[in-house]
Amino acid sequence: MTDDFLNDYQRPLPKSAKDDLFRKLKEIEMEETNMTPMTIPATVMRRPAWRSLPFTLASAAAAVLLFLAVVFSLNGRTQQPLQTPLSLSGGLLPDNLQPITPENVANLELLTTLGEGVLYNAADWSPNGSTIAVGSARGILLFNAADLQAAPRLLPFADLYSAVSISEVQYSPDGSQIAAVRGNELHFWDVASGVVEHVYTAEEWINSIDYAPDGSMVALATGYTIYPATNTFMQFIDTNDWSASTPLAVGTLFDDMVYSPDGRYLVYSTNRQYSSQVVAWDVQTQAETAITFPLPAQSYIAALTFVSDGSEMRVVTTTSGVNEAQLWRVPAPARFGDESPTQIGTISAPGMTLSTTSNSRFSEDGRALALSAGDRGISLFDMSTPDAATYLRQVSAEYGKVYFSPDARSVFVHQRNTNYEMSIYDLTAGAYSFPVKQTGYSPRSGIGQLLLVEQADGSIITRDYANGILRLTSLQTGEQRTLDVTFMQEEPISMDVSADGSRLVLAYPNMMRVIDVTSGEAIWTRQHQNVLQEVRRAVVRYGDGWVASIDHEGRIASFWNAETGEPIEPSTLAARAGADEQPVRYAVSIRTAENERGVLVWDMFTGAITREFPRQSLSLTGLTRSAEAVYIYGSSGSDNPGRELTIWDWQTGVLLSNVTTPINAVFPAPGFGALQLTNDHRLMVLGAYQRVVEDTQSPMGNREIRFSFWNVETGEQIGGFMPGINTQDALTFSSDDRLLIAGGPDGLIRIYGVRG
Amino acid sequence: MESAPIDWDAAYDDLSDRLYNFFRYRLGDEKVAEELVQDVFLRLWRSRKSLTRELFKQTAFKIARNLSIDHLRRKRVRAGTQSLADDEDTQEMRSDENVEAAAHERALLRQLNERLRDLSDEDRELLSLKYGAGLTHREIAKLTGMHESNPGTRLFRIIQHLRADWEER
Repeated sequence: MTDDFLNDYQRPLPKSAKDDLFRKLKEIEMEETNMTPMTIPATVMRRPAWRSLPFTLASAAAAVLLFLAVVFSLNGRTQQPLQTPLSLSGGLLPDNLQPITPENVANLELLTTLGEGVLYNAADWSPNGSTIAVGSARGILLFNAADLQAAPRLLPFADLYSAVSISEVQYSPDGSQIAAVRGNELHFWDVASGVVEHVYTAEEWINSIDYAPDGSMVALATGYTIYPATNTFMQFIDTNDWSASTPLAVGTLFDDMVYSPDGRYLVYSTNRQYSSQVVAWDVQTQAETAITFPLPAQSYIAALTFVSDGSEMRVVTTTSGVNEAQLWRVPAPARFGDESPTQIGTISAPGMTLSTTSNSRFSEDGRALALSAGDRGISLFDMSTPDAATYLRQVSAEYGKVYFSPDARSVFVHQRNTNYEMSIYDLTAGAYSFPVKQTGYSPRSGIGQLLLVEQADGSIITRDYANGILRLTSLQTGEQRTLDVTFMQEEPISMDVSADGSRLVLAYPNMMRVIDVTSGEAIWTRQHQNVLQEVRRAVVRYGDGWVASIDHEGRIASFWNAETGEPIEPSTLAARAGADEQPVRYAVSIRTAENERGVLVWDMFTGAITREFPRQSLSLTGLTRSAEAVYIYGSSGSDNPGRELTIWDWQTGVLLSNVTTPINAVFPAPGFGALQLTNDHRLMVLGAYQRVVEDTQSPMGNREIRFSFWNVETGEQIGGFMPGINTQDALTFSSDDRLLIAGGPDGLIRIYGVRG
Repeated sequence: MESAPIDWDAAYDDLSDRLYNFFRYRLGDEKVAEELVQDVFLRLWRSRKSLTRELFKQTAFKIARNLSIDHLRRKRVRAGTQSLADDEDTQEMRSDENVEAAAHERALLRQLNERLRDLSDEDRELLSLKYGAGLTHREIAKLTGMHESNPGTRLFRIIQHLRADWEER
């Protein structure tokens, strides 16, 4: 099946739409031409309706706002006095760390990783059925099949730089070894010792692997699985000396392949161009032979298996629009040219429509069959009589996979939904008992945001991006616990923590909440004020007695009393602040009116423009600010070949340096840390995609996101990249610049530093 | 480095169908899609003095995403479950010769809705950006803030996921 049909629904916009639109554009232009330029009136300084300020400004013809971003103190929490300096002694981190500087950043190293990380939807039963191996961010977790609640044993990766997910896990036939696919890497562990024996790096993304029956070889198939398939190769890894065969080009793509019992053939199905075939690859001669099924168009091979003596195969096919699946007897590969497949029966499940997905498979011994049903459930069949399929029951496997136990008496179901449920369904004597649901791993996903609390031993608060779960991780011990935050109507979109780490403010699309970090209980919850009824990508700040939120997309901030949740009018805050400038008071706009490009900063409460950065010719796309003095904004995005960043002194407006990056993309994302400065403003870390292969269709081409380092004073890049981290997630320096902390899409917290 | 002026005529020709199909896939409603395409260009036009040619396309799809979110929130229903395509009364009156074609189009859109209705909003948006708007994985990643390898991987999973539903219908 190709994905062409997904394109079949495209239609052109009706022609008349263009005329209508351009007529309206003309009208807007005429209205604007007649508009009288306005200046900011002095009275705005006393206007309590501070919300009207941006609209006043927006109407000023001289300053057309590309977008309006309020820059709170972008590191508000680090500007507030810390109760106790961060102590690293006696914990996981070395205490001889140096502040990270341009001079020593080349010696930056991964000091530790914290958190359990995510579970991946890749698993396998051990050959004796006692253990289930599941891929995770940290390596392979071995769960006790008799007790999923018991703490799993970890076979760790040799390194944790990469955050690429595991797509397949497989035990060797004797159970002594486990192979796992991570992107284009194939990792081998010795199960007894837990040590990584070998890592093979293929040229391309690995789709599928299978151990030879004697365990001497692992076959791997590469290729990108978004159709049309490209770079499809087969390769063999010798598990004794780890030698790798030359990659052999194969004509088609396949997801799952299986060795024949004698190890002579690798067999896989292909449904290309509506021609359903089973293809056999002769391992000795490298010849490919195929057997074609006499099926109507839009029929697919769902599953295949060898009967126990290897003399023939059983294949299940499905046809679009047909409720039943078909069961076929297929000769062994050696007889492919002489015999044809014979349909020996049909397979149906009461009340269900059977269909093809990757979830359809035989058990290893061929005695059980799982077929996807239309409602995303899996129908299970007893195949102990090879020529007949007896329906047993359906199990739910939404966003998951099923894995039969070696004796086909149990099935492990791993649902990678938000709960990451793992279940074992006990199958007995052809009848299935009620499912025994066991869950031995807490739900988690990649890290959406990361905050560092710098008091005493230090802690890190993270937010899962898939489910909004908040976690507190001790910097001293690495211990991690889930914050029991109640009333999570929706996932928060941004958060900030008070300086002492006791309170957390969470922004939801339509409300703000302050919670007690220790108890997880809400201190207060407030609906957004009208102006912020729907916040999409807010930044929130926890200040000194107040919390505030700002919509990135040009709407003004809202303020609340941090203790009571009562709205604070800006005039009140301004009066209390007196002459002392509160950084949160400043709104920043990027002006890109014709012939006038620069940055304006004004006081949100008085309306006074407090800073004006010089005009320049570059187009401005984003901005961020360091804690104290240096102001940065991205002057280009990935579409701009210039890729320049400009760095100015916040206080004086003096241009400090221009940085031109050789990398593809810059993500100036205020509050989200894709671009961070050390607190002495001398070193900048910049997140960007580092392309590995020039192939936009392949994950191999784009898979690596890396950080690069820049000397702010000289504008030069400093050597070295940190790989394997998702820059969109979270990135922060500690206030003493000794730690660089990043949250990854794999749910791990990585801490970097330079030893003294 | 001064950006070249924007050729609005060319920009419209380049992007209008992409935006239209993004909205159709995303919201399953051709009429709303048509209106939102206009909204996108009206917003772009109002910001034209600050727009650069380089950022035009990206900005257009940023706006489009936001408009679709707004629309869905307003409707307070999941994408595709309450579409005009399902509501015959709201269809415009059409001339006789167009009735058959229009019915066919509605059926097609209804089929699309049917097929995509069980996807999460996030997945449907991803699919809409890819197959409606025809954006590259890289463009999608940049637009959505995803890791650049994620769109491809996730789209593959979505397609895998859709196989069962699609092929049996």
